[in-house]
Amino acid sequence: MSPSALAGIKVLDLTHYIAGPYCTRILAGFGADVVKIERPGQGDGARRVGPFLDDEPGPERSGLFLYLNGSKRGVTLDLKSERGIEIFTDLVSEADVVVESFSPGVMERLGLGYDSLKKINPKIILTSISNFGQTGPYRDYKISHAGAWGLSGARCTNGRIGERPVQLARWMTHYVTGLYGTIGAATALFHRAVTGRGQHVDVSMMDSAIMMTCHPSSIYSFTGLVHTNHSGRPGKEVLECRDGGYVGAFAWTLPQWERMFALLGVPEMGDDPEFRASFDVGNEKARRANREVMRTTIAEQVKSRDRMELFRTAMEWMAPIVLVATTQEILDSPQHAARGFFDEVEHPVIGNVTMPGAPFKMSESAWRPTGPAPLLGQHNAEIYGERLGYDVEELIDQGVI
Amino acid sequence: MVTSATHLPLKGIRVTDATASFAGPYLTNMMATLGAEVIKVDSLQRLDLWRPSATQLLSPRDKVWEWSPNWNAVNTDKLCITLNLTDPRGVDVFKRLVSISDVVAENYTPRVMPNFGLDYSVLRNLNPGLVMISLPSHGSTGPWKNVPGFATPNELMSGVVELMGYPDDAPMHSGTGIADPIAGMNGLIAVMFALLQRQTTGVGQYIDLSQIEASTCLLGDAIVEDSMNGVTPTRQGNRHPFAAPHGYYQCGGDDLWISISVSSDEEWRALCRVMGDPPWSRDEKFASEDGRRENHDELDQLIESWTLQYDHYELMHTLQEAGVTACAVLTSAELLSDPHLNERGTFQLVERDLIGARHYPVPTAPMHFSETPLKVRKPAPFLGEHNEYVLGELLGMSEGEIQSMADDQVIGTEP
Repeated sequence: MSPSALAGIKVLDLTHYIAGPYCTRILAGFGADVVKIERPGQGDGARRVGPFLDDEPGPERSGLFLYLNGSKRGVTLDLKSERGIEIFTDLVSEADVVVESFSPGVMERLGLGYDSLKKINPKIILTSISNFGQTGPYRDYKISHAGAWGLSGARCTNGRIGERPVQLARWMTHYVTGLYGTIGAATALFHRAVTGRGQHVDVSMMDSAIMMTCHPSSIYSFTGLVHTNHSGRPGKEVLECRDGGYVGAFAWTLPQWERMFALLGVPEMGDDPEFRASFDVGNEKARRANREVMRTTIAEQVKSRDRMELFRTAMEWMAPIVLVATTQEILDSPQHAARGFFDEVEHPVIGNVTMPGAPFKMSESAWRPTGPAPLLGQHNAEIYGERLGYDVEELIDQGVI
Repeated sequence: MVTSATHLPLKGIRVTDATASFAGPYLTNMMATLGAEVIKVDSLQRLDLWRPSATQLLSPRDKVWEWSPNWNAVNTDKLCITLNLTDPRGVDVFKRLVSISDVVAENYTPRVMPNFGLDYSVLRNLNPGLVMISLPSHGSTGPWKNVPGFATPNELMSGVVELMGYPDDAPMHSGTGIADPIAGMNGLIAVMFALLQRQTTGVGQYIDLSQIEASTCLLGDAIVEDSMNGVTPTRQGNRHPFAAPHGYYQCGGDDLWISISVSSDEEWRALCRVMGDPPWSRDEKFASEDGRRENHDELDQLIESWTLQYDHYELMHTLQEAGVTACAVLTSAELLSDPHLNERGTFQLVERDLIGARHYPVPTAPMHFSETPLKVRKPAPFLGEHNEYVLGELLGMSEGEIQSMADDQVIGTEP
């Protein structure tokens, strides 16, 4: 068995939906022992969010839940019962990390706030993932993916003035919040390895979305401009091909522009002295103006080409013309195939599914390929019976699991 | 064992930072805020590509390469040296620096570091505990590994753009280059894991991060949808699978908006109460989620005719108090004056010579650590500001050696 970065690290996962489960998915993938704790009966709300197998909802049919929860073991536990708290306390006493994504205040009301957990296990790391963080005037506000994107300042560069904002693809602001959860847990583990101390990490979705857009606030601070509008409208940076479908043509450095012009059959465009001079230090304004002029020619050239042929040639020439890739094209990518990017998962209900595997490759730490996500309460007997020595039948009768 | 409660998480960790642009620098920016000594390696001959970023928005400036808002934001808390890596002396300094570093980070295409003779197989022999991370667009292996890329093309290749925008219109990109910070966040997770593993084993390792793969991982449910059902998902505009109404609605004022997301009948009734229970809201067709979804376009117009009468910020507070998920679409000016963000310290005013006092997001702002509250401790460095400290003090090179390198532009402070 290959070594893994998080071997021996025990994680209790009290999270639901996307951000928290994505955080613990990465921990599990790099070797942590993650026990996912769900409410008896309903379980994680993500079980009721699609995509569903054949578009038919069902708690074991959600592709979202499957993606986020493979490689974890799953148990159920009623944290509102005394017995449930007693069992959770047993689990905490031998855990390294607890990750939770309840509304702020819920853990305290359950008697499981950081101060309580610290009494059970002084070195425990608690990572709390919430909408707006554990403090501040918006602490108890609700958020959505579209809401977080709107709060992030993305409007300053996305969309034209007066045009309705458009939300970011799928659920990416939730996932990004999960990434900060993982960074927080990993940083706290490293800090603990050096100092011997645990801690509480408070992760906010609003701040996560802000850091993903990052620049509007600094640009405003330097320029006083609230709207710098580089938008992504058709004809600007997404270009249509002769046979339909889209590519993007982007260059940054002079050699990249030259390769792109050569590929498009207009190499003379790279010879223009004014264009070349625009790459000198301090000539950013001229470069931007030049790019606007060039876009028209580039768009015309792209429009006269077939999409896949143009893309294949670009990859051979190492020219920066890329696909607006569909999920099908991503699944078929020879680059991903060569790198073994995808995990193949066999799930008892959903069947065989392909999904992204490791987000990065570590030479000395194996990725544990995603397994089938646990069925609701699948590992109750193993964790409560074998590991902790409880009478599992009795717990079921009491409705605790 | 250190017991001080203010021990910064990465205190004592030294990073040789050969990254440029946004993705790599954001990774090392977070490490610097977390307490690492990050030494940025720039070059007079080939300045960091991020230095011009957004400078077209400024009037002409002295030392324009120091002025980019975007560059300043992601290089706080770092040191900066310059090295011409096409000169053997530059390569030698780089190697000596790596031999006393814990981490080296780079985000060139994979042919560049080997061309300088600085690939991992060379560097690990200088320092077996070294953690090295490469974060090129396509990764360090595979047929497309040498294809250059940056945030926007990476966003296209990872699937973000195809899935953003309206179903009957062209795809859109985020406009904010999200693939870069996403790669940086993943990079930090990887480096933290590697440092943690090194604590136990003493051994370093190599991390290969494809920026495109890192972003595709955040669309995993879309990939699963395609693989599971054989149907390639498309753009959803501002619609939501289980919330209706859902979208952005225009408010009073110039280009000001609010998002509203109603995901239960109870939330719908709360929205109606705040709207003053207008007669149209009692229409049977809006009573259920399915009905609201079927009549979404009409509902959007009706709601917007109401939101237009209000300030987007005030409306957020009113709706949230009533239990409705509503968030203002904030402008950059509003971000800096937002009371919640101010209380949590998301942005910080940092004074820098030449540039003055400017606001930047604290790179680690999404995470508050109870043991170590974090803030920016110093502004971005000037080009080559720490040449003497690093070459002289850290590496023990003589004044003569340093002067001769300066004479030949191997090091320097002006491009």
